[in-house]
Amino acid sequence: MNDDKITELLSAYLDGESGDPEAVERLIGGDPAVRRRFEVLQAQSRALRALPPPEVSPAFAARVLAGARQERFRPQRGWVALAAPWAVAAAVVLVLAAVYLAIQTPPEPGAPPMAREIREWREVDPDVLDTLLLERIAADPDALEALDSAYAGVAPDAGVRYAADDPVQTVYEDAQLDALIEALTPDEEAVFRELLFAYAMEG
Amino acid sequence: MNAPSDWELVALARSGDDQAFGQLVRRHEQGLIAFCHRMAGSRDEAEDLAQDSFIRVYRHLSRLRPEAKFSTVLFGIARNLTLNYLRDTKRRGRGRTRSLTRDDASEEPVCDPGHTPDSRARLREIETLLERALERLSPEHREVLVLRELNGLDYEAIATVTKCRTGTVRSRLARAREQLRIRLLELGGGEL
Repeated sequence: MNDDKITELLSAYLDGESGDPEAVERLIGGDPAVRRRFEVLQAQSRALRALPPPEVSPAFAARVLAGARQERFRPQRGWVALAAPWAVAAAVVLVLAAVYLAIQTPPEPGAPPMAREIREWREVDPDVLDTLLLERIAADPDALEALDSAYAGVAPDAGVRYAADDPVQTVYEDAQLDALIEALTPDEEAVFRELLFAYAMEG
Repeated sequence: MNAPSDWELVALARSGDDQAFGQLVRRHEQGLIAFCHRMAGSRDEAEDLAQDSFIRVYRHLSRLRPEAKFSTVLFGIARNLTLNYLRDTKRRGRGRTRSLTRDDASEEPVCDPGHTPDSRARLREIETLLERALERLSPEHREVLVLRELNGLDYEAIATVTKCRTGTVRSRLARAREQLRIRLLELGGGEL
């Protein structure tokens, strides 16, 4: 058993998350070097837990509540993400892509419910779903190719990775989004809904 | 009478009860600020990040569903915000202006009558070493260590917050602990 594996077993045992605690106890009891390593992990853990908690400003909760009240009257965000020049440039490219897609894909009567839901989210926070769709797009060579066209100067196979580094730069048109969502299986859609919930909270 | 659960408070806040939201804030403020503090490296930034996290929760109250622990939703938001903050700070080439050590030098550790001046000094020394060692970890190692050791989250909750599998949390925590040990040695702190 290598050192990394031993550390992983000891670390999980320390956290009460070992699948076979008796085996780890035998390991610790049977080898002084392993026992020493475990003692170091224990000492580190104790020391970390003993770090003093930060003092919270007495006005913190009041400040949060004041911010929350302001939030009620705050207009929804929509175009903030497009304020940066690169986003404007990307939008221009995507408008051209949208025209292309509109020609290629005849419009369907009414967006599917999932797409409508996602559109609502995007109106609130346009960049929220971009990361979410990256994997799907990465698995779709046509979509990937279309995406790469938005990244002038970026190697074709680097598009998604580049976007993953900075998801806010990835902007999708509704038609492209609808096509991707429609391609989801029911299982994928369930996962997608969970992700939607989680990512809706992102900054 | 039992205190209302987090999700009960969320339901009350959703219906416009600001006091319920305030209770939710007070219940989680210390843990959340501690997490942001250790991640971002400054107490002032930590309060701003924690405040922003709570406000984002408030903004999305109507969409929150009790499908997970409320604390994992909250820490998930804070985690994203702190990672964005770290990324933006790095991109702007603005190094941290303050270390993870306490911002205010007047903040001495609470005097424990059981500690002699020597042992208090040693305690303070260990705290400083640990804070510096934590600061030298990668964000992905630091976050799992902080969530586990300082916030007391179990592997499943950490996996939810960091959006990875519990197996990844397990191996990442082990590597984080090993890295912390190495950093402490580099800083001359021995193996505690």
